[in-house]
Amino acid sequence: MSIAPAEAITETPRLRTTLRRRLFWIAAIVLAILGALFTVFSSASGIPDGERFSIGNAGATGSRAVAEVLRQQGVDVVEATTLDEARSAVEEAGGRAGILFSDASGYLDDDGRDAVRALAEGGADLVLVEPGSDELESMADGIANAGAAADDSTVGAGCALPAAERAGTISQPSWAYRLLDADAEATRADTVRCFPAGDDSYSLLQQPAGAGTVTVLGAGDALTNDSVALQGNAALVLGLLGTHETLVWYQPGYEDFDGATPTLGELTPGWVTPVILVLLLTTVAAGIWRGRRFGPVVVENLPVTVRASETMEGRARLYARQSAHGRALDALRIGTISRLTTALNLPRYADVVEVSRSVANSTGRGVDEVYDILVGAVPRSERELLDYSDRLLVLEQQVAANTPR
Amino acid sequence: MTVTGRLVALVALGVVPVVLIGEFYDRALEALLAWIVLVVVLVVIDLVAAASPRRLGVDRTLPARVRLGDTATSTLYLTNTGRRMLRAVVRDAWQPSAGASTARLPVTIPAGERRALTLTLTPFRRGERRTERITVRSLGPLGLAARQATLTAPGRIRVLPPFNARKHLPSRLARLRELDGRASVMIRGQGTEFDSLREYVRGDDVRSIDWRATARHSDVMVRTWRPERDRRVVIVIDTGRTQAARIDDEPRIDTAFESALLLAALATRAGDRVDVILYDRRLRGRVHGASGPELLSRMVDVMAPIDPDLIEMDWTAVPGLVRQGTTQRSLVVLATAIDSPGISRELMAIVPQLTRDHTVVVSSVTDPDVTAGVHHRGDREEVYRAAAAERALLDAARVTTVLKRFGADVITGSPAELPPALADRYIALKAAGRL
Repeated sequence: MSIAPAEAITETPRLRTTLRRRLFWIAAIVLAILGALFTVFSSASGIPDGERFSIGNAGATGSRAVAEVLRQQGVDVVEATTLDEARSAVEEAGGRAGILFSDASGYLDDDGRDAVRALAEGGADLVLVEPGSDELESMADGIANAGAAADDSTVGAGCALPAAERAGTISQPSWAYRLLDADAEATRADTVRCFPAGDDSYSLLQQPAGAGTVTVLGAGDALTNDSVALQGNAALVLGLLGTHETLVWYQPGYEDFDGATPTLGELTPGWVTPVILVLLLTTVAAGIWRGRRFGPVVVENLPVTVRASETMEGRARLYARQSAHGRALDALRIGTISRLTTALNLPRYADVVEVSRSVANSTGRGVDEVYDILVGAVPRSERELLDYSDRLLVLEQQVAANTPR
Repeated sequence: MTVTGRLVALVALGVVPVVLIGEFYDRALEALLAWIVLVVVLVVIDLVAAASPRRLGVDRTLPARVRLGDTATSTLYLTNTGRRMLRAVVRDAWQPSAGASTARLPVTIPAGERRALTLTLTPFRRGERRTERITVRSLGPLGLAARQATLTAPGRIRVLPPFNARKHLPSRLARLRELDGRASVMIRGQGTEFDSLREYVRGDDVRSIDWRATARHSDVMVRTWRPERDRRVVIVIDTGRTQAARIDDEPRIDTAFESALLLAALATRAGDRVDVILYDRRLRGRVHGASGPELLSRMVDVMAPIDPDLIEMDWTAVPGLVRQGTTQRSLVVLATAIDSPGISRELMAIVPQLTRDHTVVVSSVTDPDVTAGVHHRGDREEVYRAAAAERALLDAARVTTVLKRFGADVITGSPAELPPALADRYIALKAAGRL
């Protein structure tokens, strides 16, 4: 084996060296990313929750306070946004649980509402918060909406329901409800009516349903963080909701909506976004593939390219801009005279009169005319300049034609 | 490191599993992640398995000189000193005007072996063309990714002036031989220096019969003449700013080089000694005391890297430089630009000093654009252009007149005409015995 030749000196630094040199920046970028992630995850939720009666909402219309107090009292508050979640939570508690139901957007359809009522009939206590007529129809028996409650700042309990009695008075409820008609009044004598709001309407109605109860609560404000501390609001809601070990806080979400028209998002297949990501990655890879330089740029000093005739062109433009017809014609005449002198074999120092005479002899023109072309006439315009320039050329051609070579 | 087009294709191919799996199980994102992991793993394997581009021994063989317009072959020997087979693409980083045939050379070198990479160089600019480094991109076995390193491997090639004027040389040499009387023409050689006596042969010019020698001998004797020999020709080439201007897409200095080379080739064959001085404000180059083929090769070597400097020529030092080289009467050729009295004032000032002791010829390139411009007078612009051209010619003519009055000879011509014109003038001077 021959002796291995010496290896060439490498200019590219090794990966280790590059990393060491750029350690600061790498560390800075990693720290910045970690910091950003920490900030995002440490704030409770990325997107603020603004829904009314939501237990995640700490704002004026939320119900976080009630939920937290219930939790402190040992109630297991389970948030549910779909019927399945609510059902499984109730089943987990053995069927005996409190259910708070609020569906302001009306996501849940008839079947869903029947299912919720079935839970109540299976032994759960269902509290309907400010229900609409659809919900009343399928979930409460013989109770109808009676419109907005009368304008009173406080309302007394006026019934034997323990929670209502403990509350005494509550702040002004939003909605009132009444039993549907006299028949219903007769058949639903077991319905407890509290917080009368005038005109035979009430803000709280409770009726047994199978093994459980259904409560219609018109005083939804009593649940909100803003108003829970007013009057006996807190006592009322805690009493209503804290009856079981488990409270399922069920606010139907978008998943429960069984709408007729699917959205664009539902129609697009699941692989569309990943395919876009693949294409994006392909673009990045192609950028690296084409953009990576094959070694350092080669430097070369290039010569300046200046045409020698630039000075002549520049002077011509100067003449043209200034309309220097006199000066231009002078230059043309001097050139012509010197060529004529050579052509006619005149001495170099021959004056213009001599040249004119010789030219006149040679061409058969008048001396005065030739003199005029060569020196005499003064151009007054550019038209005359062009004119004389042509005459000078003609003169030269004639002399050239008449002079034997 | 870098990636290849194959990797881009592989990433794009990720669409297939993403769509296939995503269609059935709604697991597209997981498929994508799996694909990315697969690609990254393959790239890492490829990078780890690629041979190191650093473990290379580099050698070059390269001709030292090439004439402008000719092609040279550069060979790069790469020795793989590593333990793995190297599959690589190599870039030899020549300067663009070196005219390398290709920038990227694929090569496969088994461990411990050596391979030659050949590329041809057709430089398109005179001067020193160089390469400092090579870059090696070592591909992995899968061809997805490559390791890249730049190695120092300097190389240079000197691009000599083309000497296109050499096509005029044979005809001028023939005329020189005529002069010498060596050619088989039966006229008296036009030389001026007495060479020898020989017997008269029929056809000899009767005027060259030496009657005194004929009286001493029993035969009719004629004198033979030969041109003067061992004269000095000093060529001074101006490398100042006016020489940078381009005429017919050739800088004036290149025309000056062509003229100087033709004249030197001719003069050295005629037995004269040639000095070349390249000067602006400092001595840029000098050829002294060389003759024959060595003279030309040294001249092109000195001229090759010289470009005009953007400074004014200092003519006042020129008489001193000429004097340093020779004390005897010489032909001094000044290759410069005759533009206008303003620019040539210094030249005009020193010419009398030179003409006192030497025969001086000033050669200058004229611009064919200017001479042609004089006769184009179609419209207003052209008439003004013609006027400006006349003015330029007049300026040059004034300088020429002054130089001639001081006893210098002036030769002008377009870049193609000037070198033969200067050679002809040399032959004429030699014939007249004015050297």
